Amino acid sequence: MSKLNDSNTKLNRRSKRTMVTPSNRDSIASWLDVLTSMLSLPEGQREQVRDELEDHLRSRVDDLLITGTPEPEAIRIAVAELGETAELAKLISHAHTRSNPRRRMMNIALITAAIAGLSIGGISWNNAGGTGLVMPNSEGVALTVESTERETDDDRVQTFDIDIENSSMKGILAEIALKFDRELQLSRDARGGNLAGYLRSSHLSSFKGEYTFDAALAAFRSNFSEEAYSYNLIITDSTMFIESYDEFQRGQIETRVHAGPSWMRTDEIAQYSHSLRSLLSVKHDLEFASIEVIGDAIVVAAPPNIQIEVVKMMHELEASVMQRQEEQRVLNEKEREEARAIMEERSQEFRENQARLAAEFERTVNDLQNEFDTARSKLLASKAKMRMIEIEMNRDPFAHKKEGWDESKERAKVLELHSAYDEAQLELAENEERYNYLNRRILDSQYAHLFKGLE
Amino acid sequence: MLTLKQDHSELVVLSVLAEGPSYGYAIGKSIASRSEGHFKLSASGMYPLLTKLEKNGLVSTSWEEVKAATADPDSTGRRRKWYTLSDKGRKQLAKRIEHHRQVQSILDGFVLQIESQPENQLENGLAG
Repeated sequence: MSKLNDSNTKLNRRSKRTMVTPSNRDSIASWLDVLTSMLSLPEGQREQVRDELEDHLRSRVDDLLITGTPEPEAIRIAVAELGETAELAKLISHAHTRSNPRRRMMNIALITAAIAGLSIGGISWNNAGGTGLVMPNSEGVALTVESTERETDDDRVQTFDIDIENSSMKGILAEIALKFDRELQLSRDARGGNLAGYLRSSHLSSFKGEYTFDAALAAFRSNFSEEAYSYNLIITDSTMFIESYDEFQRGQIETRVHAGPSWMRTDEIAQYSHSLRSLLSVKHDLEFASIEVIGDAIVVAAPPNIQIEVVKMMHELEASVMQRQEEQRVLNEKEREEARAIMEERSQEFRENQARLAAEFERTVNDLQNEFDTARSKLLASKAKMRMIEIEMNRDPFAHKKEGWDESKERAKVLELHSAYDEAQLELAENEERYNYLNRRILDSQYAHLFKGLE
Repeated sequence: MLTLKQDHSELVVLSVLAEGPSYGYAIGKSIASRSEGHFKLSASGMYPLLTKLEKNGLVSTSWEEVKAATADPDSTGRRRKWYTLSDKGRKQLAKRIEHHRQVQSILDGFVLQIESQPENQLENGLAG
């Protein structure tokens, strides 16, 4: 737990240094964390290497950003260009320890070897592959050493006469260590003799003659390859340390806690970590790695090369999901915009339609109302007319037999009145019908309008 | 593109530094641009080599704080390691140049001999 807090503090401190987005900071800082953890150097030197490589990465990212490369891609390219992390860490550590001035005073020498007329120049002791340029026992080789400075002890040739068939790894290493002034240290597995093929070499090549330190190591490795015999040999200026590959791998294991992806539900994280594991197993032997989900965090215990792969994969997944979400967001926004436009258009149509219908309705109602008013007046007029005729009819035509009263005239008048009454009654019925009809129409229209409004 | 061998990369890096102080990333860019893209010195070649040059006293180093153009003015920036060729480095460069010329002239002795052979003979030789 305290280690976690330390690394968080470190990240926070670093984040103040430059203005970068969180994901940018995380992937560069994560990579640097892993690389730094792989450096077998004192803390001060590790910090310096880290700072120098951080400057390299950020300079490269800046250059790529200028050319228009998107930031996550720029970081990916910059980190990829640095090459295999473990290899880089090994070479840098090696350069720091191998050229230590304490042991290696003035190790600049120009060696010109004329082999059948060929001239080869170079510096031999810093050759990680162990193929020194000084050729032991080569007949016809004229060595010209141009140097005003002292050769290092490791470049001085020592005579070996090892009977490989009857020698163990330990015996040969002890002899090399003795001749080149180093202490041989054995791990638990090596002490217990648990290294595969630790006791005997199975195939033989010569180990007799004069060897520099690097040439002696190369001869040792040609008999006992690290791959075939599953060991790891660490050389420093004062020691040679051998351990089993298992011990080496376990020694490398570190535990890191990653937050589950922000875009993922808690119940999906287990599946996510399972997928990570499957993907990693394609490239890596996961014998020394474990990926567990605790709460919504993913805990990875693994060697640094696997750790860096996990970080890389998680960042790439994150980036691709974010990109997908962004695309989806843009798409949704566009669809919403289109839907809004269609709604707007429809509601405009609707409003126009409503206005047209309202105007039509008003016109119809006005017409009906006018017609109704006319019918009402006619009805009233018919009723008045009938009332008049009724009054006239109720008068006794024979009650006023005055002078000049003519019975036949009076009878004709009564007949006329009856006929007028019938006519008026008919007219009244017609007008009444018309009136009622129009009244119903007006009511119907008003109800229809009301219901339409409610819809 | 050619990846520089260790032997050549020391000569190339010392030559770049002979023009003035520089830092890792800039040295890499300078090598690529001066060789018109033919040479490339990878980070895993460059940084161990610079460490070796420093340990051997061929270069001296100093640190500078740099900030991105977009950085917050209050932030502390990142650290850049500068390399400057020392007197010893200059002497070493002179030796390396001399050595390079020697090797070149010896190799020329072989190559020119072949080139001076009649053309058809050379072609036959290569085809065979």
